[in-house]
Amino acid sequence: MDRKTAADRFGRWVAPVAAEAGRQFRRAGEAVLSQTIRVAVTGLARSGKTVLTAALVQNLLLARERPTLLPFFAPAHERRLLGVERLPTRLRTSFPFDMVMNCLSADPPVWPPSTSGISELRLAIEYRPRGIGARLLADRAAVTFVLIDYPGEWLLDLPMLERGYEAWSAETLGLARTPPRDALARPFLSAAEAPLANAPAEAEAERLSALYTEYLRACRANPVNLSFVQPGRFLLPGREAEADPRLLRFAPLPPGSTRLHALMAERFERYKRVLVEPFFRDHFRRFDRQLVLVDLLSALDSGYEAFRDAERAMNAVLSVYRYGRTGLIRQLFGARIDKVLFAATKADHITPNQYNNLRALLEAMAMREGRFPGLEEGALAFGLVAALKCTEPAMLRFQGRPVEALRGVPVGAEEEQVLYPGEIPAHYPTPADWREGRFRFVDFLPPRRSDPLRQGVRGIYLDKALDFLIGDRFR
Amino acid sequence: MTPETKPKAGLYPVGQAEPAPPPKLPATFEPAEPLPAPEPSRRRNPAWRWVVRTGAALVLGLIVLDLGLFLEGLFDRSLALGAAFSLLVGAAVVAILSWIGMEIRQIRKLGAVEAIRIHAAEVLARDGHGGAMGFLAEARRALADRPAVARRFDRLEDMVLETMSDRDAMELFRREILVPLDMEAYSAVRRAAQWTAIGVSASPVAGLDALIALWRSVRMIRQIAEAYGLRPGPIATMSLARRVLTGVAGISVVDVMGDMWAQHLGHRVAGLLSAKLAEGVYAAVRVARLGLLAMGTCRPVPFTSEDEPSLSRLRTEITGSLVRSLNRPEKAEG
Repeated sequence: MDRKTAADRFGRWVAPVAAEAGRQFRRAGEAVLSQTIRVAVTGLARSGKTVLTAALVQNLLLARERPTLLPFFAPAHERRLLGVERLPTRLRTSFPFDMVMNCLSADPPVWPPSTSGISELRLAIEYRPRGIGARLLADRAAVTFVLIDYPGEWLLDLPMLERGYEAWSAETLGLARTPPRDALARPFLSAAEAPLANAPAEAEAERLSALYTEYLRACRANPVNLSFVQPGRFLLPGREAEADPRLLRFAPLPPGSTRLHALMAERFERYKRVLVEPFFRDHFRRFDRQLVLVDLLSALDSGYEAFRDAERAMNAVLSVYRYGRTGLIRQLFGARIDKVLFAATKADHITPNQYNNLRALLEAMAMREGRFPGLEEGALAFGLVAALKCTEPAMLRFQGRPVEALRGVPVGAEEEQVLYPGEIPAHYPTPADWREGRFRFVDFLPPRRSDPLRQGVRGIYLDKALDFLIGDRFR
Repeated sequence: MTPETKPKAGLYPVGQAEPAPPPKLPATFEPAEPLPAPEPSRRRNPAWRWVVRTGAALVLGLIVLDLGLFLEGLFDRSLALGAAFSLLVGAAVVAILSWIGMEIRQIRKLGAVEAIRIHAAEVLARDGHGGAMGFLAEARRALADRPAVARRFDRLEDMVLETMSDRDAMELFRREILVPLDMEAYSAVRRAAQWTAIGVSASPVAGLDALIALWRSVRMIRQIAEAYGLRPGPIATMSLARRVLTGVAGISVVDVMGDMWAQHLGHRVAGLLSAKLAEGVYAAVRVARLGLLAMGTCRPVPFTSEDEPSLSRLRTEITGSLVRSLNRPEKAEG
């Protein structure tokens, strides 16, 4: 009797301890398997990064109920997602997800206004681990998926870090004197070559920087659609520069030794020190993966010069990854990005039979300047995406034969029209490729009768992009 | 392509276009080259063929004549009796004819598998966009005869968009449709092999084990064919078995040698346990091998090295299950 009571007492003592130990073990297992992954989404203005970020998130939120939405995102198609929910953000600005989704699901749907500055969105993705070892540790784990959206223009400033004011001025003015920039830069160039001698340096710096900003804005606008605009913050200043506009009051000048020169050089260095370096040091080095969106179609549509300029911008961005593991910039910022996806956006603006050409062209553009010692084999990929498919396939009758085309409502039109977008060159193009009627790419309105809130956002290759960027973390 | 063959890039009114063919249209697949006619395996003696034909005609004639005389006799006795038996005979003839028709359809379907394979190979080789849609429609007709498979096709169609590359669409087809069917067929092979192993090991009479192996093989081939959307009756099963065995002749010498060594080793390991057990394993491996060949014959897309079921894994599973089944009674006795 006594023995039984003792055993009971022992059991009563052991059982909760064992249960608690089991709980702790599970919790420790979940902690071991849980991780945070920061994916930065960037691209120049109008590359579609806002809608793409929202589309990725919306499809992830629905992926558990609708695994067919993301057939190439392994955790979704393996039915291992247990739940996805949004978390409060830690950056001061959170990504305007609800605003974007409201725009896309409005009747009629509209494109959301473009975002500027840096913002983030956090998701907690709970999943069932795949490996036997991991499942012994815990039957569920979580990945905190942080999406950071920032202007691609800011990346264009990276090459400035390696240059002094004189070298940068010479390079920038040289570029401004070549067509088609020369026509746009004329007011600025004439002012920069003959600054007003009597005006105070401060006032003259303000006048020249305003003219220079106008020139950069004209470069980005139709019909030239150039991509390489430096300094990038002149167009998308961000919170810090908006608070202190003097950070942006400088411009390139021909060689000289006036007081204006000294002021400009000092401002140039201050711009680098206060805006460029902190961005790379505080944000960029904390990203794990990077998605760079390139609006190659607009560049192709705008002519050979715009195409070459897009290539220049792309290679400026890629230069971050060209420095190698031991490079100066690498050491300075300690970037830990280990996977980069370069994606041509708006793939729904071309017919599917041109996808391979578009991908090959993107890769050819990136590889012309050499390889990427900063990234391991397989860590850099080239693809294409569309955040939201705005077109449907159509067939155009030409000389009695059907030709693949697209159908949709172009921006600014009321009715549906058919677009024959032409063919993307399969090789690196020469100026002769821009003959009349070779290609034409048009922006379309978001599709009606789609229900992105319940059905998800039907894009192109969103799942493959997601799988490349974060799929490997769901082990 | 010269510029004249393409329209000028730009916007056109909708009236100039026709809607793209809906992606789920029935396939209009015509193989680029006519399918190769099956080669006659060996030249038969024409005299023998005539013997068979005239013999069959004689038997058929006798049956018809006998039936006619039988019915005539019945009509002589009573009109009602004659009419009733005539109806019965007519119903039996219709049933036999429709059965033969079904069998012929199944044999034709077996031939269609070959056409689907060529279509799949073409789609994969072209590496384009949109070509997989026709293939998927064709595959659906061939495979989705059960509600579960039809549901999987519905899900697949929800995933495959016209913007997807053919390779991606085919990968989804493999993953969503073929892999589950492979698993079904594979488990039919494993079951048949395990049964054969146990049956042959336990068979007390020498001839009985051969019968067990034959019976299980035929059943297995039918089950495999059913997994891949075919419903062969006895004649179609025979035809399928012939196809499988014709395939066996095509296996390279290296493959056969390698397999013989593996079988030999398996045989020896099993032989250490017991001679009867070894016989069981040996028979089971042969059935399993036949099963894998049947899978290869019925599968609408050839196996890749990645998803090909392995005989060695099957052999291990068979031996394991046999050892377990033999251990169980001993434990019970102990």
